Amino acid sequence: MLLVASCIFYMFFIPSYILILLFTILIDYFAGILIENANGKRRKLFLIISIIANIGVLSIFKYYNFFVGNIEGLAGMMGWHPDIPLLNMVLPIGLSFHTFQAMSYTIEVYRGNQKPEKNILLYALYVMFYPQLVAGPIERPQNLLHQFKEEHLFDYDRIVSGLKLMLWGLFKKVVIADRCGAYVGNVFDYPYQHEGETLTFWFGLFFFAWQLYCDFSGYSDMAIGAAQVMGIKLMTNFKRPYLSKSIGEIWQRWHISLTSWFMDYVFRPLGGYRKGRDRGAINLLIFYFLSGLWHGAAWTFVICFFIFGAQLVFRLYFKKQINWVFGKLESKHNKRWNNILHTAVAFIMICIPFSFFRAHNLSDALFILKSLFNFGTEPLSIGNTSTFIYAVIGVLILYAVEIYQEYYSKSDALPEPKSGGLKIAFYSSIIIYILLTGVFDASQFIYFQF
Amino acid sequence: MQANSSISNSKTKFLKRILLLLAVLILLDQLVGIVMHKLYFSSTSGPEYETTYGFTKVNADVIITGSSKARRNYNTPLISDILKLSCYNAGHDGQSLLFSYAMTKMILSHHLPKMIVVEMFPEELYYKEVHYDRLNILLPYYSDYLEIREIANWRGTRNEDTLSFSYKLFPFNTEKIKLLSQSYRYNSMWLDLIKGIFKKQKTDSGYLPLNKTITESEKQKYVEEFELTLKQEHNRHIDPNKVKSLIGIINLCKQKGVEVVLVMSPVLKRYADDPVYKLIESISLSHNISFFDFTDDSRFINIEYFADNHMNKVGSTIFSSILSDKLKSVLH
Repeated sequence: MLLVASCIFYMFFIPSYILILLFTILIDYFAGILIENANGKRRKLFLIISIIANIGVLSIFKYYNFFVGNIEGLAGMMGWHPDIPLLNMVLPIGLSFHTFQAMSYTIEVYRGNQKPEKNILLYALYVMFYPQLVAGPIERPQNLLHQFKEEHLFDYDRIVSGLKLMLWGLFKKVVIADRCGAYVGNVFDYPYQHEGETLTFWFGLFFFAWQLYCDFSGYSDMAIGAAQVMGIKLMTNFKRPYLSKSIGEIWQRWHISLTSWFMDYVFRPLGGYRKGRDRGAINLLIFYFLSGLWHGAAWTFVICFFIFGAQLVFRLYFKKQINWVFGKLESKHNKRWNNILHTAVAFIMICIPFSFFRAHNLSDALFILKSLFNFGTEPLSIGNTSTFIYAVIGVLILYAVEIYQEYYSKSDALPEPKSGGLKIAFYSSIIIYILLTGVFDASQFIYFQF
Repeated sequence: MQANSSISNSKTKFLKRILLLLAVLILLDQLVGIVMHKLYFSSTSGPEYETTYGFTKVNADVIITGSSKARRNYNTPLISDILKLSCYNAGHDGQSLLFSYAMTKMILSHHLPKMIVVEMFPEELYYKEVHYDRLNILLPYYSDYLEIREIANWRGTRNEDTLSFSYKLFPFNTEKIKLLSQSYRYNSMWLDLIKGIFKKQKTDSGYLPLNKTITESEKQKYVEEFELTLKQEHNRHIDPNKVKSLIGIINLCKQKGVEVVLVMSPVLKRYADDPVYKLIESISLSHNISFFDFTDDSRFINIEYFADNHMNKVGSTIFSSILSDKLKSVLH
């Protein structure tokens, strides 16, 4: 039943693309069984076949045009102008997510951490489970597969907390992300109209950071909540990253399922930090380069994530100096000030490279970066005041909730009244606020495109 | 046995809570809807008031409909002086032909003017998501004014491919479902309604002139950014709902004996090869109505007449004077 629902869900976008999923499902299903039954080099061979099939599909649909564009560009520089045909196809929705989830299956079977699944329908459900099919979290077979075989009895607390999580995810998406998105669009789609408006660009960047976070974590919350209602526990994908006190900590709390995927299957196998600082730095740069490429077939994504990697490498080499600077700025007595200082610096550091993530092209991104420090006579244009205020209110609510969760309740539960009657009034008010202030246009989730 | 009974109890508890939540939600939604309705329809200035005025009270002889270009480019007091007829500018910022159609339907339901001027911008007939988003302006009128329901409902089936797998499986108009909520009808409006209590913005003629003048480099930026937007708009296509709206406006006016004129006011740059011009021309010819295209009028190739991509007061005054002579010839 769940598999049928998942197939219908996927076919909502472009029905024929389900064949691509079926192709990789069949390859990985048989690869899992063959890996289990083979020895020595043959095990590796089946793993490689599975990985090539997955990466092959990803390369064709997501990266082919990007590679061709770059090859033509390089050839052009050498005076050669090949006319390589481009693919005129829409990218299958969530391709990077389910491909990575499928690859984690064969890798874990190869590593002996997971028994191959004999029931092809169950394996297909592992890849296609609809709440997380199009935008993650990218699950591991050890966490997910066995849950499909268990009986899930009706559990009031589990279902109610799943529904609350879904509601909070919806709030983050339509009340915060899409509201911020209106301001962001005005800045990033028409950057040259705002030349000299320094604060407009800073606000644009900050709003984009909140938009991206609320858009993606909002989807994750809805996916995790929906799965929870059905009795399936998916992994946590975000842990209030913007309350982190360093950029390193942000990446431990941001898109955890992807970060841990690259940690487990790329960074650690390359040696991680074990082979010394220099090798660790190179591994970090590879890690973030691949993360950028995973996000999109464009240099803007690659550069954005490469900068994130470079920030971490800088921290690796200059930790003492960074601590010395912070030591000068920190207060001896006011711990709250120190927390705010570290959180604000980490947030700003993460925001700046986002200009590459959101800009339409490299020249726009560079113009935006330059504009952050280009002080004109009219520093801020708010655009539509109401849109701006709705977004600010949304962001304030976000921080109020997350600060409560992080420092007071130390849990992911929403702050809510204790009594049952008030609780119902509280959640009804949230729904009414969503209806009054949410953006209900045809905007999509940003991460669906990946 | 005990486990079964405990599950059954928690199912009952769950059902009770859900029903209670629904009851409170419906009650709260109705309450908020009533408050918002009061606030909305008691406003005496601002865009909400102007829409209500246009929809229910306007009684001018000549009415201009359209977007922000209508509001900025058409100097209604001047047109009124030249034509010796009362004139009202019912243009609305950010709107399109879809709104003009709603406005025309509403006006003609309570008043028969001598002429309706439909301002159109060159990209008017192309599909644009945002034009459907902005139709939320119609939602407060949804229950009381049946004339605009069809247009408001287009929000739910905008660009929907009725042959698609998803539409065949779930052929729902999502807007109709959302409109079950009273609060949703005032979505994104509460802040403006509160602001409206304190800030009065009122024009008697609907005309909102701009006083600044664009520079050459600013013009260049507008043109470049517009061209970039065009490049980014893949699958640019003529919107059948907009064509329907245009023909709807024409037919409605003809049925009621109201003169209708299509006008394209001057623009910063004209894209001569755009097929939309031919389409509008052929619609105006086949319906035997006047279409005045000023987008390639050499008299307006002058940045002194523009504030941004709208005309400024100087430009709009010159344009309105020339247009009035043409309208006069149509009226006589």
